[in-house]
Amino acid sequence: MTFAASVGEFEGTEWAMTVSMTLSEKLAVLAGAAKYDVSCSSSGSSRKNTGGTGNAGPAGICHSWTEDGRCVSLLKVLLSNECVYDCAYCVNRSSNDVPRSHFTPEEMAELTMQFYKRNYIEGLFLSSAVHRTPDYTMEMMLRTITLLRREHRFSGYIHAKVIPGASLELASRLGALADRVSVNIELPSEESLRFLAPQKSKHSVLAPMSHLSESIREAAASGKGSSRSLLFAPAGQSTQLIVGATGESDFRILRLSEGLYRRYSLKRVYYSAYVPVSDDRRLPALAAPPLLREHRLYQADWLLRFYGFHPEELLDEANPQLDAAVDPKVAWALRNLHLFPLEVNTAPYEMLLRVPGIGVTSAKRILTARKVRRLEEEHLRRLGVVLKRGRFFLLCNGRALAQPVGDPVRLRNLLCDRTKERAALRNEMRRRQLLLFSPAEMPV
Amino acid sequence: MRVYVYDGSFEGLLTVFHGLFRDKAEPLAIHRRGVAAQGFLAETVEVEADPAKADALYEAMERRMTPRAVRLLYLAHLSEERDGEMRLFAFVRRGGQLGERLLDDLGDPGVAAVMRMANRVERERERFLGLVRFREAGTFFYAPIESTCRLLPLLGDHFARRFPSMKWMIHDVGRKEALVYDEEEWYLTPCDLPGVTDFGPREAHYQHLWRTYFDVAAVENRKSPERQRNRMPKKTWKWLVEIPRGKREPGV
Repeated sequence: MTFAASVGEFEGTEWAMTVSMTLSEKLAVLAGAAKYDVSCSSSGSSRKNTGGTGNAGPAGICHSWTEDGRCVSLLKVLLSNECVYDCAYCVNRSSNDVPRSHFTPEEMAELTMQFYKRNYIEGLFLSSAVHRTPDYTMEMMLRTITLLRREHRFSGYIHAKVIPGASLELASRLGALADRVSVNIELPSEESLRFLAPQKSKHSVLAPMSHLSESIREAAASGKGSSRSLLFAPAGQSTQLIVGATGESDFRILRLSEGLYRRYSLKRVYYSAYVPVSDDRRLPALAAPPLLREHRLYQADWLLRFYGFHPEELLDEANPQLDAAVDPKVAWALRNLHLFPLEVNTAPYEMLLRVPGIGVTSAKRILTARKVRRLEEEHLRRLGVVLKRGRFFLLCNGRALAQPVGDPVRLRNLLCDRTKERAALRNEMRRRQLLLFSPAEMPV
Repeated sequence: MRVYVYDGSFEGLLTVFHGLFRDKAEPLAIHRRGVAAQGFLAETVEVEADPAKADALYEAMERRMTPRAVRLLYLAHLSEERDGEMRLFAFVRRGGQLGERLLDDLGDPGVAAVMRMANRVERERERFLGLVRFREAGTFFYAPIESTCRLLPLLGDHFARRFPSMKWMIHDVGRKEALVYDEEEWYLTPCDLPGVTDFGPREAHYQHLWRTYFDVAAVENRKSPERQRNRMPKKTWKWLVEIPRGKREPGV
């Protein structure tokens, strides 16, 4: 099918079904269908303004925060939610009875521009259900993004989702126009994918991921030393997987993430607590999404990317789940008490990073400040170092910051993240009560 | 010891500092005109901004300290924090002793305070890069804001780079000041308008679409108003198009 013919067809047959929806109704349907994708980052790009509208900087900007406390940076929508796939965990699966719609590429581009000019958004995050075929869907997405870049001369941020199973050539064309591309892994193992998303395969996910990572690397290398670098997804590539819909352990998930960071140089792996959107019998009956688990995975992910940890230091086959009560760094420190306490004035950067409560910013500040004077506790506080947990692991000029606690069990109790634990529990109780009274649960 | 009063500008403040260094004087307090709970019995000196003196001190500071230290001083000044001027003065004095190493001395109270103030300004600026909401008003785009720190001087470059071919204006309603861009360059000007309110149907259409998007984008099972207010405090809601009118103070 030629591109022009496919556009004609897009506007022909199925078009009639949804034409009666107003733009606002379409937006409600297609944004509602996209919101379970967690990525919203608009950082890492370097697209400059060339006389049109917009630019994208390295830092990324949040433009609002919705009632769930998540940041809104990009206009996150599906081009279409008319899906031929039937993935059990997905709200858009073909067997689900929900309103269906799609934007035309022109509508999508115009809406993005109008939102952008009002500074509502940093750019567009465009994804889509598999409308007819993966290739057909990608053609429509490409048409939208081409309109934005060429007709509207838009230089703002675009994150485009690659549809698994689409041709690699289309993926490349997408990468040449977008700032970031992503292919969702969806589930942490091949078996789970086969079980819950039989129309997707490990290959349909990893082939484009590997292809894109090559192109990104080449473009980045070509840019070194020359001012006219080739832009190919300058903000790199990311992925997302759902946690809690299948039985994989945290250990297995973290090893997968580490592999993805290493092999494909991904910028981010996003973890999404499974939100029950289906009563499919293959899925677990959860009263609430496992948010605390998702939070601990993100903490561990940070330890992998910025703190020099390996998954094997955090977990092993005998203890494959992250501790719910303490953050993963505290858990590591409790197993390695023989390495502490550390002298603030002499400890190397890599070790400071491993102290509970000390992050990259604090560690760097300590390095700077101790060039000028020997640091005492008051100085640490002035630097903004949080000592709530760190005090059990640090010495200042040989002096301990807290009464030493030799017993790991007592120390663990002192370092427990009680508020988080309690909040998570409270949340779950509330959901359960809601569920009890929801009409769907009432016996007929 | 005396109380020094200046016009609130950075230039004015540097003029005060210049005089203090020349006279080797110790101030009791320094504050902006109009802000003051002035020292009851203290002698008050009104200082007029003097560009020549301010420039001289500015250059001397850049030489003696570092350009970054001077930049931080400027940012910290925009925090308009009560009694902040004394901390800025302590910072510059410590700079005289430490020179280029000034910013390394994070344990010093003056340095720590200025870093903290500058940080506050940077953070609020970053927040407002996202929270500015333009409304299409005929030939130009208009955005009212109200912020704790004085942000307008820090917003011009960002929006001029982003919207080079639009006419736009950001209005600091509280400070009665506006940042205006005329498709060539941006400038600051006093602005005592009550706030533009006359927008066309096209503007109403897109505001409605944005509200629709904003409401739909929240995942019901994950609702957490505390987290929302943490990231986006209520004081920033007043001019936000997406917050229902009932939840914010009257705005546009």
